[in-house]
Amino acid sequence: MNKVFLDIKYKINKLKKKIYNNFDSIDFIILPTLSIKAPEIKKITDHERYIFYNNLVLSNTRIANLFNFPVITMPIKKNYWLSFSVFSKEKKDEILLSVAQEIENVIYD
Amino acid sequence: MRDSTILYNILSKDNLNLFRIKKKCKIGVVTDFNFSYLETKDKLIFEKFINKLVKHGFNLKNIKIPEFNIANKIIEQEGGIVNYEAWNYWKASISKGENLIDKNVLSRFHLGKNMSE
Repeated sequence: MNKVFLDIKYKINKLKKKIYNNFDSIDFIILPTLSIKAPEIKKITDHERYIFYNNLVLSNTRIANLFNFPVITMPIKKNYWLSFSVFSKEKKDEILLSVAQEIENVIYD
Repeated sequence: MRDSTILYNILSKDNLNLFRIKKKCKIGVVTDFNFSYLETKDKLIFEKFINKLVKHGFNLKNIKIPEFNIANKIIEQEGGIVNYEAWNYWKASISKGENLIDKNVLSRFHLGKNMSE
């Protein structure tokens, strides 16, 4: 297997252990899903600008895939672009769904 | 959430009943990742949302997870492991017809290919 890939995977796994230590004192993590509003299509027809915005979006969302977090994402309020994501430890999908339901009950009233 | 739970039950072949967890759980609000890149107006909206959760009895505290930014730097500088895995899984199919694949999708596969070579 590719040595570069294995090196990166090793580093990511080390980071994952440190991140999961946070779950000794918390059950969930919450943060904005993205830091930018979706760009207009005319702004990303240029290939380089597409790559720029794509990387910007991925830098926000790839952490869930890298560290195997189940995630629920919801709009922060109705008719607005900004959303939040709630993460739990891996394999804790059921309690994540439960807390997300409770958050939903509160935020849209 | 009702739709998400239905979908979860279908995919997991379970019959999950959601339960009340609010007062028992602790939520960490990550302050050192993408929050700082929001425009001021959106930071205020996000803070208002957090305050609303606190007002309704959720137990929240600010936390820092520097590993998120570190992971992004590693991936941006050294390559994406997802891209590598995807290329190795699909390369036989891709090689039969790269011209049939959306160029933006193909470029993601090539990131993985370039890590191999």
